[in-house]
Amino acid sequence: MNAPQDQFREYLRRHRDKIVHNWLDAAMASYPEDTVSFLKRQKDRFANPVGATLSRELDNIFEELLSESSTQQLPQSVDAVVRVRAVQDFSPSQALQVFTVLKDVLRRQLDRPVRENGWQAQYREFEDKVDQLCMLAFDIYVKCKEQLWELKARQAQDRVSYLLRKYVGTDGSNNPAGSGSGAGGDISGE
Amino acid sequence: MAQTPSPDNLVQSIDYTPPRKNWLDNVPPEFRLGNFSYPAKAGELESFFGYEGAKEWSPMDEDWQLPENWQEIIYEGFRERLEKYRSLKVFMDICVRCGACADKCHYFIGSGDPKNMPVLRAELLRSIYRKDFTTVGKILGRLNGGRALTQDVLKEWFMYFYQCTECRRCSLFCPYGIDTAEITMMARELMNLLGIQTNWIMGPVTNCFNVGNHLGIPPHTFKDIVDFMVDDIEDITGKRIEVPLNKKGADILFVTPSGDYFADPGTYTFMGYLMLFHELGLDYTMSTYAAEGGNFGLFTSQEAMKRLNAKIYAEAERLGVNWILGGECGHMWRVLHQYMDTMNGPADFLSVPRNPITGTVFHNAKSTGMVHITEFTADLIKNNVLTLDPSRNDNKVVTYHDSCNPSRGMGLLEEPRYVLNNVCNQFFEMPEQTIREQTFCCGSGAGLNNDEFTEMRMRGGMPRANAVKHVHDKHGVNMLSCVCAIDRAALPPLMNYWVPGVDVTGVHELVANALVMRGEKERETDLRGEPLPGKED
Ligand code: SF4
Ligand code: SF4
Repeated sequence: MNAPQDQFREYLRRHRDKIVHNWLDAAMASYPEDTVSFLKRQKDRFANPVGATLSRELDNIFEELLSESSTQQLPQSVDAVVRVRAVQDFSPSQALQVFTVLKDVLRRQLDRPVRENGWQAQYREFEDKVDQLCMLAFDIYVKCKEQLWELKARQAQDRVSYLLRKYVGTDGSNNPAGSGSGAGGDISGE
Repeated sequence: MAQTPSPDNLVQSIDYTPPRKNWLDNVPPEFRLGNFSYPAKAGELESFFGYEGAKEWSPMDEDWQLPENWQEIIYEGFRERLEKYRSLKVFMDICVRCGACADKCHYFIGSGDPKNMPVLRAELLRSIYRKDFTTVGKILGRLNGGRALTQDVLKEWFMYFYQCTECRRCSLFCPYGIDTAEITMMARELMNLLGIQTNWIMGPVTNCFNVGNHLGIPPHTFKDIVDFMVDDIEDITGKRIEVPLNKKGADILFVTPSGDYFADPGTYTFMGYLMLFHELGLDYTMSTYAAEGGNFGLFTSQEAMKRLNAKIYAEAERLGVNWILGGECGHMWRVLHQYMDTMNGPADFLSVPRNPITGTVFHNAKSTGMVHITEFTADLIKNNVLTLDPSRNDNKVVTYHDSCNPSRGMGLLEEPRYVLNNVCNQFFEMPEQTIREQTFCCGSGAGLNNDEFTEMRMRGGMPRANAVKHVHDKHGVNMLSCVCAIDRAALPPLMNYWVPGVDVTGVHELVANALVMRGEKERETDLRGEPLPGKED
């Protein structure tokens, strides 16, 4: 009952709100200052979907990390965050920094209690979980980018899908005739 | 106890916070593939605007090869427009930087880039105005918030005025009614004077002007496409219908955006119009010369907009129709409602539009002679003219996206909803701060709906998608309806990325699904060829 494992987790639970709060702060610091104040101030989740997603999902993710085994909620929450970061003006490492900063936050919060209570093993185990979280985020990031590339590639055909269906007899997916012309292209009708 | 930081530690202590600096000290924006729209072809600029010596260039080039006297050209162009448009001068002068508009732009909300705050977007132009066009500015310069017109400033204009969809959401919240969309329009006009223009806009403008529609589809192909649609309609309903083209002396000229006959799902809405008109026995015609409702001139210059809009009226006059019915288009209505009358109007050779079936006279359309199809259909439904079976749409849980131009640009809010509520049984609104006048743009208006800009559009469309996701999760919404061809092209990829499981439709596709036509066979499928509810086997 009073094993170091339980004590460590109990400590995290007790300081959960503060940790999540600091994590959110650190995650938001990747945006310009004027934007950060908006992300924090505007509470309406329809007026501020980025801020709302970050605060909701980081909270969910931390909850998942605390529980013994994670649920389907974890990939869903990570997806929600990564999906946003993947279309914003970030390099891949900046986009995923939302997750890597958690280690920093934890280190600051836990440095002393870990040393005082001899929780090094538990702490390392928890850090491993954060590493796994980062890996999961990386996989999802790549999936989002792949989806974006595919959407981009398909659009040229989708824009003239009816013409392709009728004139070429396909939806254009394998047809060079449908690629790249966009609305500025020429369809002679022949 | 000091510890030597591990490499891990070091990496994580890298501060990603962008350095705080005065935004006026602009660094040139970083253009990279994916964050800008490709430039217009020099040949098209020459043929349409008569520019000599237009160049092929890329925003990624360090040197944009501007004409030697480019500052003078901009300066003169700006002066001319300040004199011509009083609104521009007022917009330049009266902003008190209260910030009410700052967080209302979907591009700011989605990107987190402060230069997408409408007030800062406008400031890109205003800072030049302040330095060069106000007495105080000439003396105080930067102290007055003015700055010199350099190539870097121009690069910022191109970056940020082409991240504005001219949606006007910001103006709704401005206590002075400053319309940043019009500021964007002016900035784009000024850039256009230097041949700085995008391919996605210029291509359709020239095609539309020279041939009749955005893709440059010639008349015989247009006729072919209509014939294909007639065949498809026959397969589904068992009814063979006639579609009049270029018919002189018809009562009504029907004009719709060309996206409706190139690409799904707009095509189903196009079929919907044809079925409705046939069922009514309407005396109408379409034109192969004015085969485009869209007007990309709006995103280019007042001159281009006027020339494209004039084609519709020239054709109405040539064919001798009494009035014009317009299809489900977005910016066609903005052009019509806000600019047509002063540009090309009044259309006094037309009559005040009158619905020949119900007798309703559309006094609201007196000066332009043009009526929106949802006004027309709402009137038909109100007068009980149509036999409708909304249960045919029962497998669709529908919400409605107010396209910016018809809603904010012309106040068309109730008619589409009235129609939808009569043709489908399951309709749910998105949260009120995201619809009607406050609607969030699809992120693709004003010429941004090009392939190379896809990722940026996913940012811009995020607030819209976020509200759709809400009704998808809460009510099981699986169909997003709209009255705009750009929406019908832009929303499917947006949904694919943010809210998989939601499809996109025009309002008249749903109308035609529900429309019971005289003498039709028992329908097995909807217009998309999907089985009707109860006919799934
Ligand atoms: S018009 Fe629309 S896109 Fe342009 S600044 Fe205003 S809110 Fe943003
Ligand atoms: S709301 Fe109007 S006055 Fe206030 S900053 Fe925006 S444009 Fe200026």
